[in-house]
Amino acid sequence: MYAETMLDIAMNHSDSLINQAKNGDNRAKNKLVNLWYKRIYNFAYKYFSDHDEAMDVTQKTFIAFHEKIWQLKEVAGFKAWLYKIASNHCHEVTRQQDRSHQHFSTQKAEDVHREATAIFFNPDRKYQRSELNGILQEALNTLNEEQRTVVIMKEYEGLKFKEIAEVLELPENTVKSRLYYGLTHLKKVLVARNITTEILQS
Amino acid sequence: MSYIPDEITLTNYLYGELSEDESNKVEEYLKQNPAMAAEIKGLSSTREIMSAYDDKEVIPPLDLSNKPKNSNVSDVRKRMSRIMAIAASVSLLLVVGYFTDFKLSYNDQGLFIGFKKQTEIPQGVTLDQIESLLDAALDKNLAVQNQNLVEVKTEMQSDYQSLFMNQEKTFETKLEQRMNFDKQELDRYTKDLQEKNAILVNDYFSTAGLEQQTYVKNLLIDFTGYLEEQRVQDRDFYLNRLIDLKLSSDLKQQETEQMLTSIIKSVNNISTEETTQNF
Repeated sequence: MYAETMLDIAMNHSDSLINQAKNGDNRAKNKLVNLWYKRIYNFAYKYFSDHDEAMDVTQKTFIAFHEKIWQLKEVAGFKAWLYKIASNHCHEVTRQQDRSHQHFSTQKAEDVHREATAIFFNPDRKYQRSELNGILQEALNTLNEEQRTVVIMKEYEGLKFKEIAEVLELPENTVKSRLYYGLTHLKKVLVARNITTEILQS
Repeated sequence: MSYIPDEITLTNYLYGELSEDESNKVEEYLKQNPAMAAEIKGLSSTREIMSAYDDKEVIPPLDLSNKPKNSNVSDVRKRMSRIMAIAASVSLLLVVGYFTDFKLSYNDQGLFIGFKKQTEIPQGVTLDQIESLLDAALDKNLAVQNQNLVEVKTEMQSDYQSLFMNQEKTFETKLEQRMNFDKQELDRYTKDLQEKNAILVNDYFSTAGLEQQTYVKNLLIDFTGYLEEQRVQDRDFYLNRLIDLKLSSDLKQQETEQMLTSIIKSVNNISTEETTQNF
């Protein structure tokens, strides 16, 4: 599911950079920002399905990274540590902007649903990648916050169960349980939208 | 079967995180429970579909590594806090000044700050002096700026040279590796070509030899047939010629006989006439 690219390899083998950043090396910090910026942005984007909020969380995450990297205890725990900062900011923004975000999501979900309905009535139609992305984002939006966080971390960010448990400060079994029910819910949503693996292949 | 895996076990199964024994147990359970097997297959398909969601591209912030080493985010915040503190102090002073009859005025002679009634203050510093002080301050500031610029330039040059040298070295190494690789590739290609050529020539000659042999054989067979045919034709020819000769001889003999008969007849007639005359 999660194909490792050259960037992923660089991200997973940056122990020396993390050590230098811990010691206050700004160049190392900037390199780490460049390596992880896209991942944190995409994590936040899939969480909110909104560019501005995703950018806001990403910037806050990396400001915190600059200020607190020296507090990181173990280099191996860098990934979980960074996602923990991002995840906390996501929860914070959700709490602060709960009403407006609810309104926005509903609005956006309606637009995406309209596209999905069009496909439902014409299942043989081949559609653009961007349309499919919209439908999958809509499916993610139907998950509750807890399940959505776990699904994004596991399916898109490639975190291990242990790392997700560390980020969310939960037992591993709770993480697995949330993931199972999250996937079950997504399956129902996709079946209702008539989205199958055959459509992907076409 | 009493074994029923819970959702945690099924999640581990779905992500391939079970031991072989446990995995076999779950598979056995799924064989006997088609509904649950379909559910797990559906979850696997869901993962596959969800993985089609592409990442969005985003441009990371600019590389700030050339900035002075002490300028980071926390320093900016500290400076902002200091400015806020100064602003708060000035505000406090103004409030205190209001209650203590603080006076602030500006006229041709300059800026005057004081409490209670404004008194005449002797003009201490002339305009020229202020100008020269300002010039000196500006010059000093300019010198510091220039110095900073020179330092930054030197650092950039050093970085650039180091980068250039590294890149040149890398390029040379890669070029050398590439050339070695190309030479090896060329040798291999030549060898391969030679081998293929040898096989081709060998095949050609063996094929050509066989064809030639067949051709000569056919030619010999054809020649024998030709000779036989020629012999038959010659025989027929000579036979016909002999027949013709015989026919011609017979005709000649017949003609000769006729001529002899005619001569004999003539001779007989003459002799008869002579005899008659004599009588």
